[in-house]
Amino acid sequence: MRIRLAAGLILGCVVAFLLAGCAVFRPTDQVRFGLWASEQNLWDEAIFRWKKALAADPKSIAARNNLAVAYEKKGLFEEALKEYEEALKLDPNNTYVKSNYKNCQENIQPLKKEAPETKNEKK
Amino acid sequence: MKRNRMLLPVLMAVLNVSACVLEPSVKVKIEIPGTPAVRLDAYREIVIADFWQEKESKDFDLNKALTEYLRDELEHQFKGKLSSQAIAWPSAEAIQDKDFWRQALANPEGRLILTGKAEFNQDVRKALLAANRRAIDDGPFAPEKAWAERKNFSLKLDIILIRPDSGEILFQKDFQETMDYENKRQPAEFAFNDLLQRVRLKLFRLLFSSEKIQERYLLSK
Repeated sequence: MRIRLAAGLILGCVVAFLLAGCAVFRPTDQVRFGLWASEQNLWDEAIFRWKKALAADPKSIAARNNLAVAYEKKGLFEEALKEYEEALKLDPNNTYVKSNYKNCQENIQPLKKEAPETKNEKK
Repeated sequence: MKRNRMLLPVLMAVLNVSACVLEPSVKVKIEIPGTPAVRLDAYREIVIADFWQEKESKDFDLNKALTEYLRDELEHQFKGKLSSQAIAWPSAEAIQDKDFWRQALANPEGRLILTGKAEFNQDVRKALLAANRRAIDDGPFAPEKAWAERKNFSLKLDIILIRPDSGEILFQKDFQETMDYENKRQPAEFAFNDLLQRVRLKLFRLLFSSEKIQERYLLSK
């Protein structure tokens, strides 16, 4: 009886421990917190979290890539390109970053071709 | 047997959790703001000038129809002032002539010129429908119609936005649209309007770009 109870207790602890590590439901670090924030459409919060993650670890590809996506969402395309390029410097073969970077470039390039000398200064 | 019963939920929990923890990326759909080809909000006025036409139609005033249409449609999107002005084009090459555009308006500051080249054509096109040669040779008494006729209209527009203070071209885009009508008496004005609506959709998408939904990958580690 005691053995069964102990086994049950251990089993419960193991399951609870594993669930605690689940990224989607309980963000445990800045990158994951940013992911959670972006899921809630809180992109400013996500940017804040991913910037913090980058401050702690400037070589974090996830933080750079996610920050770039958030910049795209905010319409800050130049900043997004810069972050993607930095992420690709760290990992040139990362297919996710490469795909995001290509899509971001495609959004910007046709406009550059059509209006090569566009000047945006206000009069 | 009892041991197996206990192992099963543990195994399921481990698999379930590992699937969620080990996923390195999340595919998300996000609304990305469009980037307009030209920041029109930086200008206080758009002057719609006459378009260059290689050959002018006698029974249809293309420039008038074009100017009125663009003015009506731009009114819904552009917050500044809209006006139109007749411009005496010396030649088609004047588009590239910066001096010509610098002298086009009296007060060029904060204004943009919308102009370009326009070509509107119409013709009747015939196509052989009958596979049987006999049906054609029988003339009007043929059992079925051998030929199909369609009225074809085509519109070529080269739309240009020019800064009159510097004479430089800010935006240039070619549009070419065609439409066939079964009605051989289709009025040119109506067809012109249909074709212009197609051009407007494409042009305004570039000038007043709206948000678009795209897929991106977010990384978890």
